[in-house]
Amino acid sequence: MFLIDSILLAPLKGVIWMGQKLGDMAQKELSDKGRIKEELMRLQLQFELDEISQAEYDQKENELLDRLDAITDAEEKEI
Amino acid sequence: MDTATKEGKYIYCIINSDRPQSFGPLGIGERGDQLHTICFNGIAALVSDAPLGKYRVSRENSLAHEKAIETVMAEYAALPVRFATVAEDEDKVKRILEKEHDRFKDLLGSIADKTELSLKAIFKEEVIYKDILEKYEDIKALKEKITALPLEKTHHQRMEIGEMVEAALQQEKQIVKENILNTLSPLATEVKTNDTYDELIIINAAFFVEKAKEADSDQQVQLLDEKYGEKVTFKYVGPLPPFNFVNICINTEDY
Repeated sequence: MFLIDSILLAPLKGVIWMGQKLGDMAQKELSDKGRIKEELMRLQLQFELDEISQAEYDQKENELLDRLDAITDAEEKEI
Repeated sequence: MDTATKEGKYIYCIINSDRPQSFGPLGIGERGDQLHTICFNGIAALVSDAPLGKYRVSRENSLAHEKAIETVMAEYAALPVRFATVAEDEDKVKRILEKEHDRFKDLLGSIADKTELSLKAIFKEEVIYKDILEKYEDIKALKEKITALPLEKTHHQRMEIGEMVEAALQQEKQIVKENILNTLSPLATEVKTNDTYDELIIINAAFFVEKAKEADSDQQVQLLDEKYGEKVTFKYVGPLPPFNFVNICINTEDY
């Protein structure tokens, strides 16, 4: 199991990671749009802290913005 | 109807000026559109030609929006207008300035001598968990106990230790957060704390500071960095347009 593996490889970091996953599940209620925006902010921070490259950033940003557009378009069609 | 190709005036901010003026080819959309002012009775909108329609919140677009405002901030106090506000033409911009003249004047007066400084503080992942393990004896003890047991028997304890580490992290965050706020809030006229969208972010805050106190604030952040720098990354940015304290929403259809 992936979860157990990651605990084995990095004991302390592993348990935190698990805690995070459990937290994520509790946050399922959060709207899709809100979640994408949060991801965008996290992505931006990673970029600002030099954790990811410009190319990685651009690619992921593009994916997230496409998803955001798709939701917005769907909402407009409903109205 | 093809709205995508129709041109309008993208509005960045409102300033005190009655001078038609250009600020360089920095308009949003990377077409080299000139930033320029449209004036009415002592106030002006900073605009550039740009297509009517939707604007993605990409880094490129939001940076263009921010840069435009920062360009005029060297000379003027600027009231930021909400991202992606585009009016049909120059007349429409003038009508907005005319109708909202007094409100804009008042707001410009209230921000004139202040500036926004933004601070993010983030725990360094590799350091903080090690710190917690050293500092919290109960976690350390439980971890040592678990390590000695066969893996399949420790599912429950591992959940427990996860919760304990999480609680310890919250506690550590709270300590540093309070210290930061207690240090910097007295220097600011307003403080806004925004969502922390990541486990390791201690604080994500904006401070509205009188220009006269900007240097004090810089110095205090320097001291915080000396105090916590080993386990905390600080991201301190400013002076910024006061996005967190005023952001003018103009519904262009109303004018």
